[in-house]
Amino acid sequence: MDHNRIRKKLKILADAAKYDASCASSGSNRAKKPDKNAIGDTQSMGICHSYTPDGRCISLLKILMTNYCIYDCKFCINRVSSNVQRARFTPQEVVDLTLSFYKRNYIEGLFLSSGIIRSSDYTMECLLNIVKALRTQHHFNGYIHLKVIPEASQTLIHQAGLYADRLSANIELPSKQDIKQLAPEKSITTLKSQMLGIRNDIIESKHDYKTKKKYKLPMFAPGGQSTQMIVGATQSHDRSILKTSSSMYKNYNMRRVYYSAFSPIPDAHSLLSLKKPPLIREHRLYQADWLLRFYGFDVDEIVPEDVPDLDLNLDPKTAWALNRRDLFPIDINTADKELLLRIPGIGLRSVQKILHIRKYHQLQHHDLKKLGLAYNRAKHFIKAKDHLKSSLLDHEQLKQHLSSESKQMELW
Amino acid sequence: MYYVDTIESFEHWQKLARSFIFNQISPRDILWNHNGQQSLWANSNLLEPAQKISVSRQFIHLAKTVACHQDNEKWELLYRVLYRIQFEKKHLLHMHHDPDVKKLLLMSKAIARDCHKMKAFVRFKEVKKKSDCFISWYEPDHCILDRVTPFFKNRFASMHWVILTPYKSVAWNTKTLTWGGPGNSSIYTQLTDQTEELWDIFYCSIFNPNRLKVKMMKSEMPVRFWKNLPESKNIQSLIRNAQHESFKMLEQSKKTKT
Ligand code: SF4
Repeated sequence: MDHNRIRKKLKILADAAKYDASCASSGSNRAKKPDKNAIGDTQSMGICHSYTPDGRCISLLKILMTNYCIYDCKFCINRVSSNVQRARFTPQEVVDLTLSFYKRNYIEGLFLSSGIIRSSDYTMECLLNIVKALRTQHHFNGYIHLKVIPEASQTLIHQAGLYADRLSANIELPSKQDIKQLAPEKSITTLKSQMLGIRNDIIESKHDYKTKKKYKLPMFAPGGQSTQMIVGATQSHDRSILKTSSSMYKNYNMRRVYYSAFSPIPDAHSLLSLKKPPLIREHRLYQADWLLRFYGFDVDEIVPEDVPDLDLNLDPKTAWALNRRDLFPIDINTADKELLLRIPGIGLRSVQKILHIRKYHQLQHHDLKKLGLAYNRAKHFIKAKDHLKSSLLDHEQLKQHLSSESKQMELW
Repeated sequence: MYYVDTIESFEHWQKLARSFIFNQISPRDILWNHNGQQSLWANSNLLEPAQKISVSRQFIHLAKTVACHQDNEKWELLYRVLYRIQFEKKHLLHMHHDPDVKKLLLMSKAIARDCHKMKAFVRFKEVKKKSDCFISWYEPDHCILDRVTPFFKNRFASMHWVILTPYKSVAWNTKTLTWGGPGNSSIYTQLTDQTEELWDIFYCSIFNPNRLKVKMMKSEMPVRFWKNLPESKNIQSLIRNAQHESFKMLEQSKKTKT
């Protein structure tokens, strides 16, 4: 590996990749042929190998093949009109970097994306060749996340999925108007058909894998697909963002939607507001997303039409519960699972514990304190075997009380 | 009263625990970790010989995990819980609010976390003369090398590597594992690996100065691990420059706007 040549490129092409948040390596269970030259594996849970001072995990070598791009998406540092230094890795350089980082246990694998050069299909093909080389010539079995280039053809995407653990086509912005305004060359229709194609290939591959013999067929993107949305580059409300996410989960079996607080970039386009990235909003969106996926909430419950933005001072479950005081207190010893999941301060795991314990023992308030849940939040919404002496606060007091508690509790 | 000397391994504890349980000895009557001068084994010799007892798989799993914990109180705690499961509360392990169970689960969680961190934070350096031969020095909080080794064996099956820790070492030659005694950090620290420089460049470039969240980083990557992470030498300067960088970016963007 020629270190001198790579040094400069790596600086540019890692810097250019840092705004894509959808990089956490998650689990992947790709069936593998036994191979004594193989290097690497994937696990059901990705590992964060390091953390940078922005609190983000480094799990993958996240780079662009090139930051040249013929498109002009206004929010993007790599757009054609941006005045940044450009570079392009050769396939061999990407391969060498991936392998030498992997062998030192710095990373779980590669997250490869790229600006569009010449044409979408040309670019997609270049990416495809890199991952193909890693898998076939270099016996690399680590995790690979490959970005799907906008407008790339389904045939190429289909091939890419046979080598990658995860594919992602980024929706980038929540509404059609936003996309039109900030990413005029991108077509939402093509994007959605790419996502649908990936979804169908995944379903088919899973089915084949179950019905035919192991190892016969390479699996298609066993780590699923994900997408990312930029938050705060346009005026769109959280409701519009979450509606889009929810349709992503429902219609395309999206494994994850990533939210990326729009961060000022060097040489920004004049359409964009210049603010510090809205990190708390991003955090609240992740919490809300969680409620959609694992807690049985509906978008309309979390961000109703008349209140289309999340409360920044409260986690979305608490905010919801405060507006539904009629449902509370919920009896910890008798309520069914769905209702327990709706109690602020009580998460999935705690619900499991509660369900187990109450088979043998009627829970009291002091028991709950020992379960590792956010008891100080939860106590306002529950009934246990014994009674709590302190009187329940009225709506405004409780809201204030919980907001100040949440300020102290979180890491911001 | 029964006095027990230093326990050497999980199997050692298991053997004793079996015979204590078989003879229904209350945990209150046993003094664990009693490294007294008098040989007090006489007492335990009075017991009926060890017999297999039936215990839930969940408990065995938990006990094997907690056995790696560096806190020697674990043996006493494990026996107390085992005793209570056998003679008092069959479903004790589900009682997450019980102080003994809670403590046991916390210990097991600490082990799981330590294993996870080791998988993440081991850094190999290439031994120059022999390429594809790697070495690492790592200081786990608990005695987890045995538990984590299969992970490295599996992931780096085609490489030659050595992992040294302060209490035990292991080497892999693409075919077999060889275990050794306590390692020493000096071989590792003296070695230079050029790839570390590229890793530093990557680490610094992927960081977004507009999103500084040092507390979050420290909670996931505790400072005590930093000394063996090559990238950590950049942290202080990245933090120092972040405010400046972020300000510069906002200023620059403002200029382009006007
Ligand atoms: S196509 Fe991708 S890389 Fe190119 S400007 Fe748009 S977002 Fe940036």
